[in-house]
Amino acid sequence: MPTSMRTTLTALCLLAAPAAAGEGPSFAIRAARVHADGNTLENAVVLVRDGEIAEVGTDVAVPEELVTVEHDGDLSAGLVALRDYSGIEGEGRDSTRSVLASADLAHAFDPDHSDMQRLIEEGVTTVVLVPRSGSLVGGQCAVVKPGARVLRRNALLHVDLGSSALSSNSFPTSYAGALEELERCFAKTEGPFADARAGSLKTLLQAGDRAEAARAIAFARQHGLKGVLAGAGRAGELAEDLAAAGLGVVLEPFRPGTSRHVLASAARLADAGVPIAFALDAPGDHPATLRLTAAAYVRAGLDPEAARRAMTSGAAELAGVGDEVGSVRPGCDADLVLWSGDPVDPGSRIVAVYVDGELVHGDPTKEKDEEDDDGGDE
Amino acid sequence: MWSTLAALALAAATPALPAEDPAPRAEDVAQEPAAADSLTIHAERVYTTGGEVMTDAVVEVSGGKIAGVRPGRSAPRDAVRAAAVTAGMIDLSARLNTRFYSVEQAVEVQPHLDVADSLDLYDPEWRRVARTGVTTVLVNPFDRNVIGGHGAVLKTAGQDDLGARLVEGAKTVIRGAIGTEPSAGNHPAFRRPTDFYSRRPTTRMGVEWEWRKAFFDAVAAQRLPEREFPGADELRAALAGERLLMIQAWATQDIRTAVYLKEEMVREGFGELDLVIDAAAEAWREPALLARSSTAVVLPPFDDDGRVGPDDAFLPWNAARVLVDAGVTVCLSSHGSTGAESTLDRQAGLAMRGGLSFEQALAAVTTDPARILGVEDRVGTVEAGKDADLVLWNGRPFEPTSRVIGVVVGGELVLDPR
Repeated sequence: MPTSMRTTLTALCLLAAPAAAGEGPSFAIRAARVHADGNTLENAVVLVRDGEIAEVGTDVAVPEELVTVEHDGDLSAGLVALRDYSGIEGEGRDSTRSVLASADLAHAFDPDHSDMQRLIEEGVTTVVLVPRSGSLVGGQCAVVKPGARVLRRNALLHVDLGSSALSSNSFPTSYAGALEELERCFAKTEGPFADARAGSLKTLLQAGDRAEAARAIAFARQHGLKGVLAGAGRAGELAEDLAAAGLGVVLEPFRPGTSRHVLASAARLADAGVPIAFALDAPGDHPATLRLTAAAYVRAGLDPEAARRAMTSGAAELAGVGDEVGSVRPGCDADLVLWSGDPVDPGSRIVAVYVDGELVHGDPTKEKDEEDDDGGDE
Repeated sequence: MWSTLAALALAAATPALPAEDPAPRAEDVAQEPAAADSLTIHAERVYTTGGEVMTDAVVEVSGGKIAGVRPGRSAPRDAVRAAAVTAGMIDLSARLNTRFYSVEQAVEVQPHLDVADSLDLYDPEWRRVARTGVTTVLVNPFDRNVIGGHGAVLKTAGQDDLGARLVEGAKTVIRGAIGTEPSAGNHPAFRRPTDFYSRRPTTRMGVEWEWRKAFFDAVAAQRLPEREFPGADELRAALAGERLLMIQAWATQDIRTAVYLKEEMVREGFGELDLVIDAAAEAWREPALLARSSTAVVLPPFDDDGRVGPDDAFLPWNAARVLVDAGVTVCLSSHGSTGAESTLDRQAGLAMRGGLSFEQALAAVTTDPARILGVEDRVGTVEAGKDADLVLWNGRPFEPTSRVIGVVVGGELVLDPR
């Protein structure tokens, strides 16, 4: 596209942004490839109205008064991380008690924290805040949108069946003691544990290794718990049990030294039909880790489409917000990322990020990111 | 592969039999085609049961069980070969996965909690132990509590599923300790009480008090239900003889305390405990006491200077001989040590050097532990119908010049001599 036309479009964008008489932005994006709901549409248009996706397709009629952004690259839903600690700082766990089931992580959410902007810059538009490890039951996870709002409170009940819940000088010090305490909790007839047993509250089961994961799966089946298993890198080796239990799996972030067994897990789980998502332990991990994790698992054998789904709609569904975020589908929030190439290709660059239809990072009209700030020496 | 080779062997074997051999053997061999999970082991000496030896014999394994032991003149060419075969060894004090997470220290007396909840069958340590010839182990909670909870009896190899590895029919074991270990982490309350370790017991006197209190309270709760506490029913079951009570006691005074505890329970009319003392290094000092109370012992590994354990207990080379002569059932163990000289085969050799006969040493690592655990109908000897747990040797077992060259657990060749 000639520069002059692009400049005109930019001017129109700036003028036309609040064009529609609704609550949010309305515009359209035509992208070379749109990753929508399991399909990749070539040269398709996404129509946004009032911050929500209104239409997606190859022959969408865009009303005259709305701007169409042209993007010669990929468009996907904003990334969804199923485990994150951004903005929580020291508020992620109350260490006075090992079981605090009604603790609400949404109280720790600060939408304007500097961690949030870093998430957005890497295309992560929804995260699930999880209690810090150390408690047997740390509280209830919250699904939040960085820079925006709490999407869903009490999304998942955190239950730790690993050694991270054990202490050397406070109860419980042993797996047996922890299990006994959990049995006591889940015998209650009301409250979060009863809701989890009834299926109205999903659980996030934390486990560190295969033995702990096996116990967690058995515990979930015994009590009829639904939700996800997190923390067990080699969960792929328990794929059949996970599928039978109806649990999803949160895959661990890729770090230098991640073993090939762990990386092979993703493909095995996907083949067994186990829903998967990725964890992002920001701010400890750089937010770019989310898509680099996806790329690493793809390199180890995970199907690229399964990887794209795991970092968007798959994670959203496991967190219970699949109707609102994670998909490029009519009715979903307009959380969109424009890429220079395939989202699971580590060589791709993020060109622009939209949250609820607002352009929150980047500029689709620019060829390259122009640095606004010096950035520092790192 | 096995079925093809076995079939070929069968085809080859039949015409090769000398005319004067009795026909039934040929029929037995010819009739059944070998199953896919079958194994044939040929050895110069097969130690079947008690003190019996079959020379030049073949052990047939099928479906995880020993199908039979027969003379080996017609052993197939692909049979696994060894100089000797014994039953798989049984270690009552293997201490696999026995770390801090295996015992709940919030309360000193936890008879009902189960070490099985803390086992990690993916740990490569299991394979390492299996390859030393130990096929069945009793794993116990770490000895930081006065009463730590249930132990678990399982095979050292097989599927990764706990249910498949546990040995069905084994007695339920309750584990505890007498001596300094249970009190080691506690301190008196006058220090800043930052955690629950500001509590009793802080001495071995306190430990003994906890034991007696646990049993007295358990019996009292029978008459006064409001005094019931978690695990009390387990203690009552132990008094009824329905549990195997394993108490770790290294030093003479602690071994005496354990036996006196059992005798006091009988005197009070509470019941008779089925008692076995683990790491009973100084048991050789009280053979008559142990014999009269029908208390079995498990010895820790022998050490060069004789000093073993946290209390520097003295374990002489002839400890096993002294006890066996007095009629005490003695088992040998590795007590969790990973040293090359602490394995059960070495311990049996050292016990022989200390005076045990070969048969007694073999019993101390096979039939005696099997009987103590109540699984003697499944393991401990090389007989048809028992679990296919076998050890293959390159010489006479327990000799310092001999080595474990092959191990079979549940029919699976965990260590292959070929």
